[in-house]
Amino acid sequence: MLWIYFSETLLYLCFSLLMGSFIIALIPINNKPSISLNKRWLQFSILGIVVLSLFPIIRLVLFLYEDIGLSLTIQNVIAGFEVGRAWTFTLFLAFIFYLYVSIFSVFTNKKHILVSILFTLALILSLGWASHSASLTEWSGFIAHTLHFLAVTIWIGILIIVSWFSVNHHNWAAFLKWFTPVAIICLVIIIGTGLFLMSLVQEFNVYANSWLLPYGQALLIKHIIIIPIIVFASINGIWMRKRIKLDSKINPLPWVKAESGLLLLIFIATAVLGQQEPPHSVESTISGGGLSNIFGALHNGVITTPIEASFDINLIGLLFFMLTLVFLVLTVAVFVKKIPSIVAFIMSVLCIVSLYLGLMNSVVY
Amino acid sequence: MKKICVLLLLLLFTFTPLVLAHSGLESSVPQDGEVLTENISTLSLTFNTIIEDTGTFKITKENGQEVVLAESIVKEKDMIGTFSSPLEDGTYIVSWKIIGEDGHPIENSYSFSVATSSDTVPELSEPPIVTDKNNSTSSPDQGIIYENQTSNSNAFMVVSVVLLMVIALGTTVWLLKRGKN
Repeated sequence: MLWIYFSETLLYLCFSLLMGSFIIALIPINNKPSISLNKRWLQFSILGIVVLSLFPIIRLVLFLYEDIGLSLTIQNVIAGFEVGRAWTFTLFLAFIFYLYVSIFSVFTNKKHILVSILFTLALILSLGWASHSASLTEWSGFIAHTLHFLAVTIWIGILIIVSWFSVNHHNWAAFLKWFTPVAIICLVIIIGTGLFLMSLVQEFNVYANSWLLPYGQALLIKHIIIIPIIVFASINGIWMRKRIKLDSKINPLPWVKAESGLLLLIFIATAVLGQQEPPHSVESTISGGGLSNIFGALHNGVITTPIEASFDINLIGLLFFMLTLVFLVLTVAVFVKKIPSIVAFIMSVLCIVSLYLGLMNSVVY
Repeated sequence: MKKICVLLLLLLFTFTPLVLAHSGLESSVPQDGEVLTENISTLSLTFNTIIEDTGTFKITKENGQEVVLAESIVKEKDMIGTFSSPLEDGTYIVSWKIIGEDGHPIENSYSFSVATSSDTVPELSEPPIVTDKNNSTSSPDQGIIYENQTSNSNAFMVVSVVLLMVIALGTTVWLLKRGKN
């Protein structure tokens, strides 16, 4: 299973890289730092999308071939299954896109940039078509999922390109002036569509019950990671802007790099989440042996039916929650004291760990 | 434009019925845990979504011996199998393996038993939830479905909390010292 988490994470990165590089290319030269991005990266990303989106299909084939034979399975999956057909379409699109990117000057000509964005959009739609929510809820699920992913690729894409492919930090204030509102709009869309997609799968009042399952664990971790990301976004979007106004020599890039590191963590959590069975019936899943391994190892005591989560905060739990706050404050303090951003990154990871363990320690069933 | 977006989102939120993602077994004949007193000639599984044609299932007796099916078909939401000969008394396990419309593979199993002659009523190995539902004498809805006996998670929690506190304290002191210089 591990390889599919890895491949899905890389798949999200490929999409973000494409989207980010085209949007940055659209921005006038005075409103962004100087970017040095080789076309190779785009070509790799397109190839990556084709290869990486094939992985879930390979998984299906491996699941099925014992019963009806390998060649028949491959034929069936590629031609007959929704995911297979969506992949065939992805392959076709990616092929044309690859040629387009290789032939035309997709970084300088506005028309070509727009066409490339459309291609990326089409690939996202193709991926959304193959995705889970699409098949079961018709249009609303499909639209919500696509919007969610689109907002993610725009926000994170720009951030990755700027933090890892900038050669300097010229025009940083001008860059933040347009990027901050874009990031906020994306975040609002991500949260809105994310909650909607969540409501398709489970009711909100039984959220804590689903922590018993691998799905719930992945979703919880994903939600927890959002907290330090918002702290980092405020550091980069608000306080760094003030600091740069005072002294333009200060380099903001390590701090955006640290933020992109946290975003990578969220990609990993999402990749894990996407492969789990959603919690229709927590009770029957658990009695069928579906309890999350991590939860099983961390939780002490018994789980009784009917499953109803409640909180019982003891001393250790309280300490964990206080540590969560302390690590959040320390993340900001590292910035205030002008200490390398890697320390702030470690502090936020520890904040995530504290909150997670605190919740695991306090929840009783 | 903004207004349209907001409206669209609102529409999405208001008019969508709560639907469960992923396919799963909705009902079956015979049901999970059912004790049949009359023999049956077919077995059918109904899922909550349309499933791909490659779905399969097999029926095995307790001793692992597989029951031969005369025919098995997949039709939209249903999988139906026809037995070539009547089932003998005993407990049977039905294991199914399907790919839902969404391309997600799922497999699971359940059991039922056949007791056509009145003197042999086999014991069923049911999941505890089902037992609890039938057993109305002692605390009707309480049942332990999981108990952690081996893990020393408490020790782990204590060690982590201490470790995290040391790190937090150390970092704070370090930050304060740097502030003074």
